Amino acid sequence: MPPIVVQELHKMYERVPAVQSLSFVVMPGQILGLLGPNGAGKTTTMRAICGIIPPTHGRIMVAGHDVVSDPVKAKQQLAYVPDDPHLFDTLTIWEHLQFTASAYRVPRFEPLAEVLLSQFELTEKKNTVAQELSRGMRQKVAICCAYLHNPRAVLLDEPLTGLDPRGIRTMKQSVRERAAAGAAFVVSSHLLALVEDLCTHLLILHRGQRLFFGPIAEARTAFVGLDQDASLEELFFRATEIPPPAAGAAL
Amino acid sequence: MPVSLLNLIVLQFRGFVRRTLRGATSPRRAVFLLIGLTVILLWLMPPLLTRFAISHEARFDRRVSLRGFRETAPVALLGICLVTTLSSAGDKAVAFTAGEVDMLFPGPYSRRQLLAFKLLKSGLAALFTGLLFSVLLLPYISSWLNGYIGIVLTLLFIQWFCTAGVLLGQALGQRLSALLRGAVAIGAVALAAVIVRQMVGSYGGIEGIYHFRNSQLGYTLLQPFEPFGDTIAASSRIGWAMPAAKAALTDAVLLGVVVLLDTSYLEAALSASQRRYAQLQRIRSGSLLSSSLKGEMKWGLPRPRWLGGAGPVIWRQATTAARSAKGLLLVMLLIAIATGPLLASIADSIQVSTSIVPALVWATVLLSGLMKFDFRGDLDHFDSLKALPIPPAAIAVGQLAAPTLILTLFHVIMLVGVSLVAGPEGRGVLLTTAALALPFNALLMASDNLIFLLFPARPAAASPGDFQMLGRQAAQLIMKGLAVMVGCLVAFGIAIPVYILAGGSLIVLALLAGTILVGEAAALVPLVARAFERFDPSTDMPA
Repeated sequence: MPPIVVQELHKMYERVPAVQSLSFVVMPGQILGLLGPNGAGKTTTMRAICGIIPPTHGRIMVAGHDVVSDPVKAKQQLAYVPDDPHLFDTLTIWEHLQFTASAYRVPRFEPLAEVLLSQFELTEKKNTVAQELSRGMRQKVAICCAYLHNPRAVLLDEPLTGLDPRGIRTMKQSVRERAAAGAAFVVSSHLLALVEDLCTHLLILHRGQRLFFGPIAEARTAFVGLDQDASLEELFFRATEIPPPAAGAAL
Repeated sequence: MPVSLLNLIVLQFRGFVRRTLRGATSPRRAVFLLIGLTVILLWLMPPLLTRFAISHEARFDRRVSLRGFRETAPVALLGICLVTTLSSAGDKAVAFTAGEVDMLFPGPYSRRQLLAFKLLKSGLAALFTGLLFSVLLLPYISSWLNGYIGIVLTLLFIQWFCTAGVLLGQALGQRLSALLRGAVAIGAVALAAVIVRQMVGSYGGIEGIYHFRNSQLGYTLLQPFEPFGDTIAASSRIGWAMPAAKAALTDAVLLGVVVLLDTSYLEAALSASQRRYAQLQRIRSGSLLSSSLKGEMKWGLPRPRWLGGAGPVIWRQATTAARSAKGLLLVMLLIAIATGPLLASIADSIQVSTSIVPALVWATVLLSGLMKFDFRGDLDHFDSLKALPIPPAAIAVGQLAAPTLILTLFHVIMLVGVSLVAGPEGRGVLLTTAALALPFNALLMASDNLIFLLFPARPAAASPGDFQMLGRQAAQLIMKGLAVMVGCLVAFGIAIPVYILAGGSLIVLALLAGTILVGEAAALVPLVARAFERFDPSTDMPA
């Protein structure tokens, strides 16, 4: 069963379409890079998948559960790390994990929590309240909370913002390991090098519409006039600056 | 001062006017703007009408009754100075906005130029605020201009006292400054004890303040503050000139101190701005009471139970409340100080029972607005809450539980405490009221959260001149008041006849009214859950 299925997603903000007729599937082990200029609908798509905002039309399934009609079961299987995570100011790092464990009903969370804290170099800070943490540390705490219940689908919005070089390496490694273990990832980022390095698949959005969806290797053939060895940057500008020959261009 | 800084003040004023008038952009905003302007009118009209409606003789009588103002003004000013010295309230006088810090501090301006910019801005603000206060005092003062000048001088005194205090703290260093604050705190507590003792003692109420003012200690301490009250309340031009000159001289001395201490002005302003920015961010997110927590937390509440999904949410809010205990206790202490002496000075037990009702209503309105350990304090966490694998009804119950229980605890402590003083006649009524605290607070919190979810607004957005936000807050307060009033009318409308039929049994009254109130609160929970479910953070989140 695919961890993420999006069918004909449509989201309007009053009369302005943020996302239009968007469909894609993310299978276990796949890491989908979500690309697009500002305002393309990336964050809207991710928030709709998480059940934070309701879709205007369309269907979103997470691990076989409809996000709209069966939200609790769907949310149990996913994790979302926003681009600027707002932690609970008065709670310590450990209490964030404790809260996440209780909300997602993780029975003996302590050993796994200790491993995650150690992996992201937060062990020494575990009793520090969130309002004392730097931007990068807050990001790490949000990632630890996201991983705690072993979700089948993980959505990361600009996951490297604020992380130090070691944090970036740990982050990338953790994504690869979890994907190899069967989790599906959606990574939204403007860092094209990160997407090229980490992702197996690509979804390019522009003004709420899908320009490309498929394996990253196939992306170069989807747009005319691109060399086989063209960089992702060239591909991105080619895709977003010149409209595709036909809607969808490629699946 | 450079022209560019003067230009900035003009531009900021234009922005202020723009914000004030922005209410007309949509019908909903226009309605809120109208309500806001009505509130301001209702606030200003009575003193204006009174001023022109009453006879000269009556005005003279009022001026005589203004003795109270003149006598208490220096004590109030002393209190304000002590509070700003002991708290971070003085930061406001030195703090720049985040935009000003980023744009002006690295800009081509000297320390003195920035100080002049800040002083000019605060001076202009004093001129505007003084205008409002002068209208409120219109029925009492003999000449509007004299009173207005007195008020402006007083406001400038407070601002410059705060500035001097922050600069002195910076000059002394952290350790010495903390020592000095400690000494002032001890002095303030001793002083408060003396005044409260006189208020509840043989002099009773306001006479206690007059007595303190006439004592040797009071006379010495209040000398620098005397001219300000005298300037505002002067009954003749001749009687006004001397205190006005003294007040202006006091302000000039303070300004001199500020200029003398301004060596570390930029550093002090930067730290104050950062503290204030962090504080504003907390207020913006709805956490009015949460103070800045530092270092490691050695304690926490026990691991949460599931409770159908409500457990983790209750645990999270209860932890936040416990960590905000300092702020909560301070507010409760202030309420106790404000109401305690009054209640203690009433000897008759029945009178105690009736006097506590307005005190309780006032404390409830104040505390329910501050205790935002629910949806109102979670504006920045709606994404996290909506992403939780917990049913909306359980989240709603979890969010409402903590503030309901804390407010109930406060009510019970207050009512039981007064019932101990009240004697047997009033005790029954007080204990019955205590028994009804939980269902009443559940109804209050459910109504408050429902209205918030339907008309969300950020607390700090209501700054002076923001009539639209003022209107929104007034409308919310009216809606909340109406919801609770209707709930109580239904509950007591049914319970009181039964109470009479049952021969005046308070137990019957408490049981029946309590059950109905619980039912009403429970009926609101699905509505709160639905409102939360329908809340779309991408469109409904207030700016």
